[in-house]
Amino acid sequence: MSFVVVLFPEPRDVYIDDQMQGSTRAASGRPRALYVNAGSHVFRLGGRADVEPPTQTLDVPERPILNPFRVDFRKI
Amino acid sequence: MRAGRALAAAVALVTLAGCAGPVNPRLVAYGDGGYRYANVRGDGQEEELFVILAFSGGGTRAAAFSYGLLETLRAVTYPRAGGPARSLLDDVDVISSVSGGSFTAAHYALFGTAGFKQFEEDFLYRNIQGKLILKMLAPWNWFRLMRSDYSRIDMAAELYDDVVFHGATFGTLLERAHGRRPYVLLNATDMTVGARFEFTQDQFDLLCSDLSRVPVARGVAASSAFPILLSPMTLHNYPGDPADPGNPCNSFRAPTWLAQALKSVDQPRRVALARNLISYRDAVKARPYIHLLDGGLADNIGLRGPYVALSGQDSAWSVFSKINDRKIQRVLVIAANAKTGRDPGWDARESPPGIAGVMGLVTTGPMGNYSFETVQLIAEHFRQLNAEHESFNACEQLAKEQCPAFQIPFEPAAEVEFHAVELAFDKVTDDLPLQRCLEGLATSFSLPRPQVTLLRQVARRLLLTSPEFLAAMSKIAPTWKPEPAPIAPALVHEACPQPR
Repeated sequence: MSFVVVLFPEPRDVYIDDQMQGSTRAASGRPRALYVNAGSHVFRLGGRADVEPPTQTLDVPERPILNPFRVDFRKI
Repeated sequence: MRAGRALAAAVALVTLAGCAGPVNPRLVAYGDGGYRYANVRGDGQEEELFVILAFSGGGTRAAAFSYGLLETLRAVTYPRAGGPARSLLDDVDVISSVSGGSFTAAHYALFGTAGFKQFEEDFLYRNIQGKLILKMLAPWNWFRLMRSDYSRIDMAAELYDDVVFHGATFGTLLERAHGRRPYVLLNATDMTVGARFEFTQDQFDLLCSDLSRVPVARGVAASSAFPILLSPMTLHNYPGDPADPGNPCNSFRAPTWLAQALKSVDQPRRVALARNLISYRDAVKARPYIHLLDGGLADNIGLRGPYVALSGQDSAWSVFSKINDRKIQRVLVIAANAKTGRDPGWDARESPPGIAGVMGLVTTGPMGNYSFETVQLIAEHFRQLNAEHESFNACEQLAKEQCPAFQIPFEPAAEVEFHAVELAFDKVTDDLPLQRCLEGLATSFSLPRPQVTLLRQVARRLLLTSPEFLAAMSKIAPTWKPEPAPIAPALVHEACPQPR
């Protein structure tokens, strides 16, 4: 098991392997950690197509909640 | 001469009867339809409480025990904020079953509580085993059994279809679900890969086959194809054909989670699970037929599928993803485990066990292997989640004390409460003679009436006195109080006539 934080300047729905995982941000505005099983996964965001890169295939290492794996998306 | 010709014609007619094509037809086209979690429960419509039931194998013993659990859950009613009282049975999202437990699971998914009485008459209190033997002994069926595409398990499936499931297919199951019935995983075992094979469209996509036209009785028969007594069930695995652009099997695309699991070389568990699944497409030329046996050979408690869904994204109905999405805040897993565990006494004698003992062990031994381990794996997974949460909260608290302006730059993952309840005969610890009686009950599709009634009552008592269940209910419905669940001594006496 591992933890990831998906970063994007706006709240967006996060999809891991095409399965909806909730928003990039909590109601407080802070990004939120997500559970993920370690290994290869495809990350993408929902909403408008203003995200770079559109998808990321990443090998997620085992990470504890206090040191989550970062997945960065940029707004274009 | 004329009589001989007439006999030959009759034999040919009987032999060919039922030659209506393959048991599992080829898909017309790949799509999102069919018997899948999202089409049964309404993906994204989950409520805060997610309930999974697991029904073990054990013939009518298991069917009656799991039925007792369903009856008791129906009677567990609690007030709902802003709405009428509801029954805990209405909260059940998924039932995963093997072997005897599959009869109860499939019948409830098809007919709901309105079918409870019918199930008692059609299956629980009926001598299904006797009917099966009579069918096999009927001379007109001998000729059918000579065919290469027809065997004892097909005969069993016909009987179950006729007397228990009344012609219902997985298409019927989907029509009747409408989000109100649980998603049912009927689990069998793939003989070649030795792994779990579930009767869902997600699994049948891998065979390029349409599950909606398969009778539910087939799934139940495969799930309960007890080794040697019943033959394996054979399914078709349809190949694609690059030379034929119209072949629907050409357009198979592995779901993303499956393709990614195959790439996860540092995660052997993910890879092993994915390799088993993709082998149906990758090796379709070498495996045009798939042979299935009793689901208990791969997992006799039916919890392997739920474990995968609860612990990661590698599932067509990942509960892990729904927890991330804050849809689910509490998970309750209740396993009705009808395993028997009487010491056969082999170790008290110098002479080795006889052939019957060895055969019994070989055919049933693997069925107990994963039962306990899977419950432990799921509980350990949630313990780990909670420990991570505690460390996050402790760290944030410490940081606030030392430096009030500091804030961890992200929020923790969703918090989830987990409750696991296992109902098993070895938990009848306050009445050891009754425990010994239950552990000595036969594995058969025919049990005496008092034994069936006793099993239903034992399930009720075990659930309503389970410390884990009471703890779960104190969170789900704090005002709920269990009713007494006595077992009449006269019933025990009738069901367990031998000195207990």
